[in-house]
Amino acid sequence: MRPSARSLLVLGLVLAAAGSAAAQQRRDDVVSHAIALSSRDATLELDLASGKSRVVSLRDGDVIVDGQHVGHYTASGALERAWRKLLGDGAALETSKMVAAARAWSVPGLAGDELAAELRIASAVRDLASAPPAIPAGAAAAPAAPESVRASFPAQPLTAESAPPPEQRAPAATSTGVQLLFQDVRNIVAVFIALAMIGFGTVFFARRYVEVIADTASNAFGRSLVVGLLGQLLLLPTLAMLIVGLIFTIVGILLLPFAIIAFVVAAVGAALGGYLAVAHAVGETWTRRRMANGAFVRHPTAYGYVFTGLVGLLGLWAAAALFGWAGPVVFVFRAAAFIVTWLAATVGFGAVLLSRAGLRETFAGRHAGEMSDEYLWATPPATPAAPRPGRRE
Amino acid sequence: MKRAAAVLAVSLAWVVTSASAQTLRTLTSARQLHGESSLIVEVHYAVGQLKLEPASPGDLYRMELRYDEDKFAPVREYDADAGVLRLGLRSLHGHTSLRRGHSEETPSLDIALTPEVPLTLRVEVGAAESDVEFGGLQLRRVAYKTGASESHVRFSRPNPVECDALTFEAGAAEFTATGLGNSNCRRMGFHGGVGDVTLDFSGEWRTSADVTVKIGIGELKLVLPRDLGVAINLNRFLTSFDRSGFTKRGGVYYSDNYASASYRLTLNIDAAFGGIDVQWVDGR
Repeated sequence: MRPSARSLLVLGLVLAAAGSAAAQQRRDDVVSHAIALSSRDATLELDLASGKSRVVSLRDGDVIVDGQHVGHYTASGALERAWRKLLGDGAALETSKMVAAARAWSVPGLAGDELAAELRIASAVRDLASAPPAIPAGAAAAPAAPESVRASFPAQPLTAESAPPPEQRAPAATSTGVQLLFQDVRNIVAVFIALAMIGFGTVFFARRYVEVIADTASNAFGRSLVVGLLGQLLLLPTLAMLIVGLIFTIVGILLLPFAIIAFVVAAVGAALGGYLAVAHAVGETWTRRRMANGAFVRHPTAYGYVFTGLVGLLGLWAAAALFGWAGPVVFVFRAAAFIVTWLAATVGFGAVLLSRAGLRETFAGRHAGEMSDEYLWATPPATPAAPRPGRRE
Repeated sequence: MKRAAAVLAVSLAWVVTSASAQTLRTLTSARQLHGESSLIVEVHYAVGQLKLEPASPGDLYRMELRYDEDKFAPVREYDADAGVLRLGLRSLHGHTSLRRGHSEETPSLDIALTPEVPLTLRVEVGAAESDVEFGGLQLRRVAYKTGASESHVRFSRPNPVECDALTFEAGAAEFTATGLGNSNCRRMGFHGGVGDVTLDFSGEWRTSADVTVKIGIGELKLVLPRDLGVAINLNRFLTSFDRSGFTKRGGVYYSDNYASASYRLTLNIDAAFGGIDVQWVDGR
């Protein structure tokens, strides 16, 4: 019984090992593939049943396997041309035929770096399988490198680390942090220039109205905010009423497209103009405070106020862009920038409505007989006055 | 003046450079069936041209994508354990439109899905032209959402499995769905904002269906087979309705054969600012 039991144990171990090997083989089967071709790169990605993947890419003169640089190739050389042909032909193939074609792929006449790179690629796909294997005649006819040379490049093992996660693959590589930072900063600068140009134009052509709106926003901040909020809430109902009213008049239906466009333009203009007026108010307040503290400002003008205010209002967006690398902190900056922008637009919109686009000075705080800040430094100190004779205390 | 000219020249150069700096990339991806019993498919596509159709036998899916790799990134994920497949194209920097008139090539996405496995399908399309063929697919549930686009959805062949729900959402769009009778769905819905909508209910009916239609501003065209019993609950505001072939009873419009029809279609329509046209067609 003992020899029999030992035999059974050995047989069991052998069968278990064989089963494990077969299971491993099945798990390494290629189950899907992806081919990406552009002027920059030519990439083959093979997804395995085990959840790993094998990525072979020719990009910018480098041969890359699973994110690891394994060799070089000459741009438009024999290796790149053959690789692109393989991938181009493989786009129409099913996965098993693509794997077979990749395994049979070989480029005749290579030497040096390109031969080494070709062998690295071959070793990366050599042990992959996908049933049923089928080799296209064209690929099979290509002569292979000598077996002795191929043997020096063992099949590349698959490890969990070898395949980068999808987000680290080729598409993500095109947009690095520096590029994103540059793009964000470029966008903010573009927005700043656009707003500044609109602001300067508005000041040039309608300075008086801009100043009235800015003063309204400064002197009736809370009222402007409330009116701006209500205005935002009532925008769509007002538009709907306008549409319905025009439709009811029958003749007005013809005017409907123009009325809708005019309404949208007016709303956007009010919000934009209000935002610029708030920028004017911010810039003016800051400039006057500097002057009150003794700073010398050569020519305090409305243009300078708008410029300074825009720098202040867009500063948080710039900070968010510049600190994009700092992780979650950027969300704080972005949230703050969004809130400030919304607040400025809402207050500005409310100020536009309150001042009737700068025509009414009721809430602008003018004619109050107050001396503006820049002259405060020259104001003589108050002196106690003696009570007039005969006046009751 | 010279400075202004220089600024203009630089601006033009930047625009031209931006337009010509497109890096086109093609991505082809495929996967064969490996014993899947059902599949959830999510397609997200921001901008361009979308084509969806049944795949060849043996394929789980096949995708061919053409895009500008500086602006977009492909989406290709398959979770075998959960049976979820995600395909599409996402914007890298918030690009959701194309600059018409420039030399920019339109991205395109062609997807073929297996006709051999029951599917739950969610499609979200942004500013894209869509040509979708659902005929032949085994559809259990479909949610199709599109923004500003032109969409053509077809059921050229009957759905071999029973479908729980088929919903369409369209923003500002020209939307056409044909062969809805082949969808084999008991509940259907269309929610539209602005645009021209055609719902063609011809096809091989195998179950009665309730359909909800909500449309804002635009024209709704209903194509109805004569052998189908149709009832329409209509809630409209400043909307014309072509009631030919219907008899109104108790606030509901009934087709003449409603009582005797083998299958019935109940349409609940909310419409404002537009018109509803009905076209009766013979047979299937």
